[in-house]
Amino acid sequence: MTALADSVWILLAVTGAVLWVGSRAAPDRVARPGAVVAAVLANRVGRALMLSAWMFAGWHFFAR
Amino acid sequence: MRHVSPAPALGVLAAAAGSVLVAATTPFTPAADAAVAAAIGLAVLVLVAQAVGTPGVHPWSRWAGAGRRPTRAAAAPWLALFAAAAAWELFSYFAGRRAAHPTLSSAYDALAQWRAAKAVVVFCWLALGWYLVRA
Repeated sequence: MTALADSVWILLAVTGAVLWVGSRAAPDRVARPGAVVAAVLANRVGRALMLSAWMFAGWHFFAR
Repeated sequence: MRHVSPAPALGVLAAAAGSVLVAATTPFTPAADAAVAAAIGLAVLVLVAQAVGTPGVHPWSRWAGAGRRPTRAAAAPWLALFAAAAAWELFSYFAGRRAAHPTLSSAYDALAQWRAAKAVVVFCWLALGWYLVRA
């Protein structure tokens, strides 16, 4: 099971890399990641959720 | 001759020093709690300063420019990837034995055995925080 689980994480990472390359080549078809984050931050609720997620990640990973 | 502000370089240096400091702490100790709380507290202070410093013209309003906003179709692949990663993380978390179902946390734990690697992760976290709260 470990190999399958690891493969899924690797597949997700590779997909992210492919999307990133695609967004550089054709930003009209695949949005730049920064543009997606900017769109989320433009919304009050999205901004609060994203900042909360950032705080939670720091606390969870480094302090817990 | 063009004047170059030293502020960005000083900020990077401060973040690097903070990263090394946080990486030197051990989770579940008061030192780790204090170091992470200091970074989060600084972010909250910046957010509050932004909110009260420029009433009516909040720095966040610059994100609202329609020209920057991607179409739903263009954003969909990223949202699908995020949803897939979140679903797999949840499945792995509840699936049972951690060795067989690694989560992001367990992968990080393996990486954080090396202080230098942990410092790099902390630096990335601080950089992301700066990106999110910057004016």
